[in-house]
Amino acid sequence: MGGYGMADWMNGSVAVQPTSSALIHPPVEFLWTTVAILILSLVALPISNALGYGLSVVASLTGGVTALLDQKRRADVNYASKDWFAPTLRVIRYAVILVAFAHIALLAISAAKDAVR
Amino acid sequence: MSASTKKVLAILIASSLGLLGATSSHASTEIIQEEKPLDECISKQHKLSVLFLVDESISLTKNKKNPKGTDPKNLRVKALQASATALASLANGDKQDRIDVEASIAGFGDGYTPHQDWMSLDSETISDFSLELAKQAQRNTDFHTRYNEAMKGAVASFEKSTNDGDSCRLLIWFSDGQHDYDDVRGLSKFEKRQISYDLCRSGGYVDQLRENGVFIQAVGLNDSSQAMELMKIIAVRDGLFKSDGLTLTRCGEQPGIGKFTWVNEADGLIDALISGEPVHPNQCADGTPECYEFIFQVDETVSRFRFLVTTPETGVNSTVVTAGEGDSFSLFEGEEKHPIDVVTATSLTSTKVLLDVLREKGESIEGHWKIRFLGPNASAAIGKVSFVGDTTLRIMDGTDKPLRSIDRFKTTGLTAKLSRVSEGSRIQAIEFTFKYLQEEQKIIAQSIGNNSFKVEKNAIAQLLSNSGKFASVGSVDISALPLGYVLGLKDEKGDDVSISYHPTFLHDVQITDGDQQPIVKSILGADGKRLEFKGTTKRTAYFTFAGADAADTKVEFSSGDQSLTRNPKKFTVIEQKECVVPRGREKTCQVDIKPEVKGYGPYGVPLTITYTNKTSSETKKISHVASVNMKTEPPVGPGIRRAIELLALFLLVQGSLRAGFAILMTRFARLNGTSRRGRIPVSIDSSGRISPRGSAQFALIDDGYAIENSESVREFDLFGIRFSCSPLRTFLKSTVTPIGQASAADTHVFGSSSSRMSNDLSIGLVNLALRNQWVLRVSRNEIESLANGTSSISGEVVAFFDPYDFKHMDGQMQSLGTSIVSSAVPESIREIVEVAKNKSETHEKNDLKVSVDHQSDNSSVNKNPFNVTATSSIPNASMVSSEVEKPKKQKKNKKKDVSPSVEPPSENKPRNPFAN
Repeated sequence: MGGYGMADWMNGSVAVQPTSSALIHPPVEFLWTTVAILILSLVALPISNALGYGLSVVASLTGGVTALLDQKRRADVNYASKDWFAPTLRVIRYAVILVAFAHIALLAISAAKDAVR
Repeated sequence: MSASTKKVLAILIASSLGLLGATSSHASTEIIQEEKPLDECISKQHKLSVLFLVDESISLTKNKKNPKGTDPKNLRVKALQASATALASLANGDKQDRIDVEASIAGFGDGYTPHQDWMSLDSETISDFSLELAKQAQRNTDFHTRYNEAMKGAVASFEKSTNDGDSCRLLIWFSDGQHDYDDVRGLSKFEKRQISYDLCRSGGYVDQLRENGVFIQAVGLNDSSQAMELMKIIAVRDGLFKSDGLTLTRCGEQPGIGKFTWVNEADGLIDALISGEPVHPNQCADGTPECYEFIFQVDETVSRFRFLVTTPETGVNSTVVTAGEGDSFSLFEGEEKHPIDVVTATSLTSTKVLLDVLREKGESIEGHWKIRFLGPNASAAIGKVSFVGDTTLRIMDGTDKPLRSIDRFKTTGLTAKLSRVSEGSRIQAIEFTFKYLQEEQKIIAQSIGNNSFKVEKNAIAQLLSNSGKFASVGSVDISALPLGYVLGLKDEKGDDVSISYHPTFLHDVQITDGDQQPIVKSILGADGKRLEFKGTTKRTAYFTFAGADAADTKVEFSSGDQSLTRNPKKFTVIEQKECVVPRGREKTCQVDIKPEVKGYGPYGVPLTITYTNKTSSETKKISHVASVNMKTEPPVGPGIRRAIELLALFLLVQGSLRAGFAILMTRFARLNGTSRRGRIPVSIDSSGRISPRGSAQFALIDDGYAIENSESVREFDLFGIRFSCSPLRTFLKSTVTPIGQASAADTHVFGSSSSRMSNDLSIGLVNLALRNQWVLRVSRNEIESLANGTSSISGEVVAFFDPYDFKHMDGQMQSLGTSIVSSAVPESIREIVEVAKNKSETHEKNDLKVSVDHQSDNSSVNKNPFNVTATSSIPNASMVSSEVEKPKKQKKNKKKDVSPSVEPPSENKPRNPFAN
């Protein structure tokens, strides 16, 4: 770090805290919805890859909507940040892509096998 | 036609491998039949895959010549169902006689439509299969009759069937029309190409079917046999198809393995698809007027018979069947499916009933059977019968030992012994067939009593001796077929109606020359099983020999005469290891064999084995047949194509989603109406320390409302800084936390979003929600000054604040300070200054070096382009920027770039300060 100090910026402060009822939170409910669909898609792996792939596409959509809503909410002064939200959302969205890829790969293998049977 | 052929044809009652023409009084039928490898295949393999391919064109119900269409009563469906039922019955019986049948249904017209996937066909599944066939009655709306689609689809369907090389294949193909692709009158240019190229060229669809071992059973329903000529040459290959200037005398190059049946009316379909020998009734023996009857005796060797009863449309008042054990039942009176236990009666039309009589455990069908017709037209009734016999037969040599091999010089004759027969047996003789590839010789064995039949040794010796047909062959296939007749029934020629018995096969019976040569004991593949070829890849055959008694024998292999094989695959011997079979001991020799032509099913590979006696050097060549299975290589291409299609779909869907969200998200979010922004002058020293400029405390100037962000925008200018965001960048980098960019001319801009640093140091990164975001800008010249020794330079922070009524400005200034302290910006500044210093020193050295070089040798300047770079007048500030971006490139080109003038000192090697 540089050689400057916090004292350079210190001139005293009085903050007006917003009421908790006015707080705007990240769209956690969307995140959990995405997780739920992801789990369903995961469960579908040994059952139906077509269904699982469809679910993973839906999870991709809800994951994207979650990120979009969070971005809009962040601009609001009443936004109450949750440190874990963005990293978790990122991991979940990567997982969705992985599961979608797994489904499509299994579908592709199955299609290839059908074609050569 | 051989008796053995007849035998298997009878087994395949349903598939119309029958014998003669129409029994219907007014329908015409023509049957063109080529060689039939199918019967041999089934008798060997006991596996069959059958595809029912049915025309679905609208002409079945309506056409110009006939407003009611060619098959208004849907008789094709009845006939096909009867065929399927009979095929399913092949799965009955003892294990050794049972045939595993799988079947599939597809339709064609405008295209090829699979209706029923491959399924096992037996007594349990036949009802489901028949129900699916029944739906063909409604499938008659296509406007075209596209043969090319039909054959292409059939090739694909068989590729999906059992592909283990040991299943026989049969295509039952029904059509009532000529090839019509485009509704153009006559043959269009396009259709001519489809016929001559797609279908009938060498390697076309028809050849592909033959190559895949598919027996084509084509049934053409049309009032003109000429009109079905194309169908005929597709089935049997040779013929004469002539239409609109297109003349074909053959379709495809592969030998035709099929049969074509033409019927001019739908009534003939059932007769065409249900085989058997036509028989006519005699006047009733008891003198009853207007009475005709069939009377025949079924003995204990008959396991099953079918009787297709056809009556004239009028003039027969009663048809009564009396079974062997005396039970009677009537026909054509809404009869039951099973009038008695052993009989299944299927009403095909108002004048045709198919009786299927099957002996099952604990039941008997023996005795005198009678079918009596009463009425003025009773004499016009017709029957069509086929009898299947069932007996067990043992083949022994002349000394009553099971036959294993025959010594060509010491033959002992052959004996066949029957079981399950008694004095009432109608078996009169046994027909032995000796076969080497397509060469065959029949010998009839006469009864010697006690259910035994014998061939004298002289007959065998003549066959195998030097002058005989099999003088130089090392092995033959032998089959023994009982010849028997039904007492009481005569066919149209007045001959007794034969009973079709199962032949007994002995494969690869060794023909030896006494103890002079080794004997081939087995020919197997590397896995110890029957040799199997996939496509045209080579395989190693393992020949196990029993050594000769006389001496050690050298064995050499060479390709045999392929002209004796049907549909030659041109097997060649690729490589062999020298092999000597020791005297009196076993030895396995290896030889690599390769077919030149693809095939499917069982084949005999002709090989010539040369035996050289190691003692006397005497040689003898013997022809041998290695029984192998061939199968086609799986079509990998379509599978890979479909996999790629799905992966492309994945990329498309995921890419579209990401692109959509990138476009939606990549905008600076709208700030609250009273949000503020302003700028703060700062000083920066060489250690990266940022402090207030011109005062003891940081002062906010140009404080105002963030009106540039009262709406969501993709770019805006603020205090000379360009804020922008790119959907493409969001698409490529992240759709979770998209980033905006801040830039200004000739200025280093550092952003508050430290999670992602730009590679370009003139661009700072900020979050798209600008709340509490800030950027620091410093002129490049100022950075250069800092590097050259100036103690401190000026810069400016541009920051966004929450509304002051929400959070006091002082508090926000404090937070801003914290944010800058905890950011990577001071360190980045320090590193940039360090890099600038190093560059400056390097340039000074280079300037000096170039000056010396110019004086000593001007030519060297041309050889080292970097010297020119070193002396150029690129602004130092720009150099800082470009050199900081270089390290990665330099790393990659480290070996190539040896110029000392641009290589930074190793200890202070610049790196991108924002890379972390």
